[in-house]
Amino acid sequence: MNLKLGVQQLGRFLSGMVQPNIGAFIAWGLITALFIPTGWLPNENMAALVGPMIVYLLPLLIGYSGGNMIAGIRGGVVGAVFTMGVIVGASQPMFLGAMIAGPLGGYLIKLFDKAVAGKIRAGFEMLVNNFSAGIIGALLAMLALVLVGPLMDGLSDALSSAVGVVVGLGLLPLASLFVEPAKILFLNNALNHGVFTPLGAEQVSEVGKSIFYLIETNPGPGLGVLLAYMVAGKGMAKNSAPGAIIIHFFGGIHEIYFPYVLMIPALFISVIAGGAVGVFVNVLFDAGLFAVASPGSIVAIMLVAARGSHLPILLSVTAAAATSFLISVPIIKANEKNLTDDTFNSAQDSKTEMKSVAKGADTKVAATSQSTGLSGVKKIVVACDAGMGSSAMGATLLKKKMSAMNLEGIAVTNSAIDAIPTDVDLIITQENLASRVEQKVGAGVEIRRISNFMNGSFYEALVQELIEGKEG
Amino acid sequence: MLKNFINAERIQITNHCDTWQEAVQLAAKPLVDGKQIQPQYVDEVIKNITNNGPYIVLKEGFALPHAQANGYVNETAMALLVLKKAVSFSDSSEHDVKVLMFLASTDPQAHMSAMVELVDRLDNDTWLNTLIAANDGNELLELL
Repeated sequence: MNLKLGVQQLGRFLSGMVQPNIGAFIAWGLITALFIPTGWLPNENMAALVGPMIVYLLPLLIGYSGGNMIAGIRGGVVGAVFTMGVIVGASQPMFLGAMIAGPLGGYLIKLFDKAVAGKIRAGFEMLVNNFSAGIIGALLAMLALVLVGPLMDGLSDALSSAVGVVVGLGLLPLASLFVEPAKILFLNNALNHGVFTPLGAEQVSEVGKSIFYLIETNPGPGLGVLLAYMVAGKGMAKNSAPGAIIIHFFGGIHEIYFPYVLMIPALFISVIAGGAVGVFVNVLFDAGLFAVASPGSIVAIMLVAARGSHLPILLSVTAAAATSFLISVPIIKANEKNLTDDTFNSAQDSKTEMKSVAKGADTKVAATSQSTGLSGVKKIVVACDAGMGSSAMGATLLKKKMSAMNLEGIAVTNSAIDAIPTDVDLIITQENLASRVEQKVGAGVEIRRISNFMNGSFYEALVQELIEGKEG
Repeated sequence: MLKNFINAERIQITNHCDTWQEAVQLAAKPLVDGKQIQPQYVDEVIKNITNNGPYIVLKEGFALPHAQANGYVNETAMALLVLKKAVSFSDSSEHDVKVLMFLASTDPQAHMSAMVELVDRLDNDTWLNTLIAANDGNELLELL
């Protein structure tokens, strides 16, 4: 039961990090497809955007989103700083590293915040907040810089030698087992330069063509995944898939489909199977290219296809796409729930689930007890539009009432509605603002409406309720 | 400390204002004149209240007009306006206000100590009445 819940949470979590940033992937894909030397409108000036965007922008966005999901904007900032260490430490673009560093950074700052919650003197919050985020972020970035480089080099070497062994045994379709995941880990260059290009060049000089050039460049597996999203996906992933197909299939920018795979990691199976089928068809018909196809666009591939290989290659691409599509559709359908646009809502859901699991309670029971009473409240936010005046006074008054009634162990902060953190248990806001708060946090978080922020009896009644919830 | 952010020049007493917009403008005037805020901040405040409703009426009789700084606040400051005759922030009498504490803050924490103090005062119902009964600015400053 918990395994299923865990897998669901992981999927939701990954899509929450990647999905909001697909627009940036598409921007990068367009720029790359157009302006790189082998692109449609080669332009050296514009192509200068390509490297920094994929190396820095995209991983940082993912790292930020990951941290933000765990601990709000502050978590995002620490996550991004941590990610920077990973980026600089590694020689390849670090998506996977960002997906680990981002949330981990958010989690660590949250731990810190929890440890000091309620212990900071009023007026010093800003100072402590900024410096704690800065110091923790700096340490994490330095640590990542030192550790990640050797780790990635090791992984890259291991993959290259694994592919070398498979090729040596003549089991070429099995190479996809390593090639497809390696692409998404951005180790494809290591594979290409370390294994396929030397082997391919050797073959070309002997027989005029090589199948090795086709193993990594086949756009079929990615095409299948994107088509499956078009058919079975939901929300933004579905709507952006057609554009991604153009960039991927005709532009040859394979990276564009990586986020779609990362959102539902089970899709690794689709691309591996699709890749293997593609290679198998190429082996069957003895297809090959006479030069490296770069980028891996169907157009570029056709241009360097050896005589008589055009049809087999098209067949192999089609077979790869069909295989990957057929496997992807059920996987995407099964994970449909994770593909809502409102990642905040899903983060909320998973939070509620996590909580009930942590309490060892049945989800249903936890959900009902949450909506009817105030047990287990640890963090209260008083929210208003600006987050500085009214809500600050409301939070101060609530703190005052809590200490007057000897209630301890609950953190009270104030916040702008747009910046309400994700891990809050109870939100207090003014009647007129309540609908905006609901929009922001979604269902699942208790919201109490107050007629005016300085209504003393409201807070007294609330504190009483909190005390009862604590005892009960 | 409240008095770090307010002084005699920022305290006004007037008989009445026709609309709450006028009251907010008047309350803010000393800060615009003193260049603590830019005139656009006053527009932001009025926009905030128009869009979000009179939630800045924190207690019957007392309002804390404010908005996000958006770069229009040069220095954290407050200004006090006491009206002899109430002005309403809505059609309902529960939003009748006689005391306006206009707040401008460069960041959400800068004025927290003053907020803590203000909450203490406001929690005591008689304090607001003594403000309303005061005759001149010096008397009001004493009360803060």
